[in-house]
Amino acid sequence: MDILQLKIITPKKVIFDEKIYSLTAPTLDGEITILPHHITLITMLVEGIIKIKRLTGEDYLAIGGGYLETDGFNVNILVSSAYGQESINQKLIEKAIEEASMILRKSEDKQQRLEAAALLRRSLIDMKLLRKKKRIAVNI
Amino acid sequence: MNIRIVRKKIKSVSNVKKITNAMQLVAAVKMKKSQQKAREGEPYRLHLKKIIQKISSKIDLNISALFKVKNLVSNRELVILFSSNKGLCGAFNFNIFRFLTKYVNISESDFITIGRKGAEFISKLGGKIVADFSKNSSNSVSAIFQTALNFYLEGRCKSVKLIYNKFISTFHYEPTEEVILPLPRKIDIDLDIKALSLKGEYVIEPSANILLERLLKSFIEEKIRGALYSSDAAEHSSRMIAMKNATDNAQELIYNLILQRNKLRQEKITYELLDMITAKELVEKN
Repeated sequence: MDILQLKIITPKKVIFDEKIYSLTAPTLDGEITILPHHITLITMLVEGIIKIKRLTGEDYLAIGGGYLETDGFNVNILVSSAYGQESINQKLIEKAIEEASMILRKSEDKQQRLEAAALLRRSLIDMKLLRKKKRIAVNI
Repeated sequence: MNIRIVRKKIKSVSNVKKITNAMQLVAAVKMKKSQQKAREGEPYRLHLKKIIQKISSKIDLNISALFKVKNLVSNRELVILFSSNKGLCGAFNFNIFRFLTKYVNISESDFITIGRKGAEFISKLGGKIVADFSKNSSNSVSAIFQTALNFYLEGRCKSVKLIYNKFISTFHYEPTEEVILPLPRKIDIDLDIKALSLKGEYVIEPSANILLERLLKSFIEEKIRGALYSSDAAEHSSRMIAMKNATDNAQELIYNLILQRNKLRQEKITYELLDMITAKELVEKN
């Protein structure tokens, strides 16, 4: 029986590099199964589950999207996003925006505090000056 | 100086030395880790590039919004600034800030910050931060990209830039500016040349246009990831060197202090001897 060399690659590292019988992956139009001697193909994968028929047993992998490239002997799958990436992103972005506004607020607070401190210092000096003037006035 | 003070100082300096030495070792391990991370991501980038090369020859790249903004409403720039969360890393942050103030008009730009030091710096200068990804940055690459892309596609900025310290070697890093949106033309030129040597026709599903758009987006996302790892490695190497210098300085300080301690001790002994001798002479005279 012919076999395929499958490589699954994520942006972080190569997570799967093995010889397999076949593979089923979710694409935009439905599912495709890649068998040995498949026509050369580049396609886009969507969120779903990849089914891998290994030499011993089966394996499943949830992905959030990516690309598949094959020439009939080798299959390369690039996983560009993890399962449920969009909702994860949504949360992260919201958090980041909140964080940003907090930083700005904090710095505003800091600035106000600095301004207040400066004002206090100035008035203290003024008071000292006034006291001195008074003393002079009394002496005269 | 009192001998007791010198002794105390020696003790505290050697404690500092121990700490900086430990930090140096930790930074070295972390640097290796982030370099390894960058290396492990290499196959993905390589394959991505290969696929883009294979299909870019088939279509007109001009149609993609990634190369040219369509409905610009603002003339501002979006800057993605990479810095560190923690200090004690030499001139790492300072270098990037100097670079930033030199090349970027802060009042005309919006910022996405990665790294607390950068966020503090920008807010101190009164810059506008739209999002801050300092926490858990290595998992937010996709989210960072999404934020920048939305900003760009809505026409709220004319370009998106990355500013980060590029890791060159353990002893060397360089502040770098890289425009990621609109995509520079240069990449498709060298893509086309290579694509000519391509053998065999590919079936492309669903269509080359849609696929390429997605691929280019992934490509940009990888650029951001690359910058993040590079900046990370540079930070750790910078910290390692800073801590090594601190350890060396502490060693030198300890050496001088020990010298001083011995001198003081000797002085004390000499005085005591002198005292004893004069006392003895006095007693013998009488």
